[in-house]
Amino acid sequence: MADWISILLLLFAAFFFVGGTVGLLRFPDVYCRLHALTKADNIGMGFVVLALVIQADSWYWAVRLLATWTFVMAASATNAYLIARAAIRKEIPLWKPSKRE
Amino acid sequence: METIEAGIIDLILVLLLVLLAGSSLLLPRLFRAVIAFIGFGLIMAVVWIRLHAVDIALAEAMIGSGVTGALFLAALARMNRSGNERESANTHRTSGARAICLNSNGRVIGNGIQWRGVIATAVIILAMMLMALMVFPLPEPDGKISALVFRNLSDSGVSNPVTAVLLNFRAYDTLLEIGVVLLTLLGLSAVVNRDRLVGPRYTDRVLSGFYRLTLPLLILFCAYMVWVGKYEPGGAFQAAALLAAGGILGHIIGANPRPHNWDGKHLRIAVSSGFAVFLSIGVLLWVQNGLFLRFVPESAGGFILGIEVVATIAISISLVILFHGSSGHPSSFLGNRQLPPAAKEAE
Repeated sequence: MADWISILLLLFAAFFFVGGTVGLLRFPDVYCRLHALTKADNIGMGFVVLALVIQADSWYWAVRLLATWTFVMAASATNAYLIARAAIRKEIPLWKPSKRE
Repeated sequence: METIEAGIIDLILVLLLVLLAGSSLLLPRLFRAVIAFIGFGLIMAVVWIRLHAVDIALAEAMIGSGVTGALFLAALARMNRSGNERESANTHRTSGARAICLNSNGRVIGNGIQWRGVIATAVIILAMMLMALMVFPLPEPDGKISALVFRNLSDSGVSNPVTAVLLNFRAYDTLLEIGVVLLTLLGLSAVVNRDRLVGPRYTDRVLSGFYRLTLPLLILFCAYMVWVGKYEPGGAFQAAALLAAGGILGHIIGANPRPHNWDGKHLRIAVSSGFAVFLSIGVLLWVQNGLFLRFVPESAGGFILGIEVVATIAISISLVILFHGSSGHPSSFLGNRQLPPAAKEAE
């Protein structure tokens, strides 16, 4: 049972990672790409961690895994902000949908 | 472990490794080459984990990819900065190696680039063939050396076989490694151009908040990593990289994370303390036991922990100062300069 829940969670994780990667490759400007990458990675990593927490032998390992997720989220949110700030400072314009579409 | 799936993952890892290594060498844009290098370090760390070498994986991820990546990025930012300065003041000629093949955007200039790529590729292929020639005739590892390590592990004072090799059986190598870090620092302080050091330029609330959040955790992890090195993967270099990450972050935001009354002299004592303490313990053991760095089982654990603690502090401060030198920030180790007026305005 636990294995099946883990597999399901890992599939969710894979979905978000693939989504984030497609977004990184296909979105039109740096801000959208950053958004896709950071959001999808955080949630994807969250699902991976949850899948592993279910498999963990003890609370000690479960807490360790969840702490890892927290640190990764803090770091990636800060990174996303810094990259976006650098992009704004370089005056990279925001993407706007063209009127034809 | 030896399933087909694991084989496929390993194959993907190896291909990625070759691709990223090639990119970091051959990409004409230095920024992209540096990013490829950082990616290479991370994949390399995963490869080490696949080879069950967690200690090396940690060192690779933290120092090979993390700190070295930060040094490269800092040097790149500095090159761009000095490039911009050159454009605004044509009379001011820059000297030094950085001007040889790079223009202000960090692009390699000159027509030799394709040729250089071809030659580099040829050299890489040749080197790979040579490596294959040397590696394939090697006999299968017979486990004699690792058996030797595990047989003597109980006498080493630690229970992590990697730490036992690094700080007891082959302590001499590690002593010299710490010496290399010190030498690098001396080299840096000899070549750094003190006139061109500028103050910290990056102040940011989010980054400062992140710094305040992570610094205590980094210090805690660092202490844990030194201590755990006796039993599990960990150790001085890995711990030092963690602490250095905090120091580098602190200097980027201008927080100057060190005891407030320290000056260049204290820093110089601190960075050489790792090598000095290691060497003195080696001599002490020589006097006691008749051979340089010969540990005895009763006291080995204490000596090793002592060496690791001092080495951690020395290496981490060294890494932060290396970051200073690469990024062009002033530090009292490299010489305390008054901020030039231009830099004051920029802040």
